Amino acid sequence: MIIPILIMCLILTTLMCLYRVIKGPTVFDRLIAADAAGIMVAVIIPLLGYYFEQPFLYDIALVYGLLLFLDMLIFAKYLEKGEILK
Amino acid sequence: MNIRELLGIALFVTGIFFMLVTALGMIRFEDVFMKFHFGSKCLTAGAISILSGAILYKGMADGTGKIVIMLVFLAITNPLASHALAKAAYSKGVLPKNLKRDDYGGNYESVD
Repeated sequence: MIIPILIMCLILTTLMCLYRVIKGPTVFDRLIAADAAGIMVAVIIPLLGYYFEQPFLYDIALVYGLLLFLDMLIFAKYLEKGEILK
Repeated sequence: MNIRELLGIALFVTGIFFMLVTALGMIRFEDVFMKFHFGSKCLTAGAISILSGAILYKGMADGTGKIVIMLVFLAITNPLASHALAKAAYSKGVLPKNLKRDDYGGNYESVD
């Protein structure tokens, strides 16, 4: 019974973070808000897998977290140095 | 309802409190580095609390090990990504608003 309430609250916080993604003054505001929203979605996905009893969603959450981390590192390196690979 | 599920529900409530504080900080604060503060500390605490609550609420079943791997992975990599983004922001010349003293002194090339 508590799992659907938890998923609804997490979707609400994700939408509150997406407000800052749309209306950020600088690019770093948008990036850190997108990181926060992505981690909230990566927490929602295993709860959905537990609620609907679909075990393959745990694998999807793992790969999503890995790609999010790689994404943020590539953005940071590109914005700092101006190039990714030499 | 036994004591394990009650502990899981308590961890769920703690985690959703941290997530709401993170979202409010993302909306209300104007400075970039305050947002990095929320995005590295408060969000990691919320994710660890909710995933630990899911492990306790569920018990030993299929997929619990994957949630443990994901918890350790998020606890390591989320502050790392925030640190990389903060370093990039300082290197591009974005400074805090009420800055009293800058130890790097505007020497953006030597930031490690």
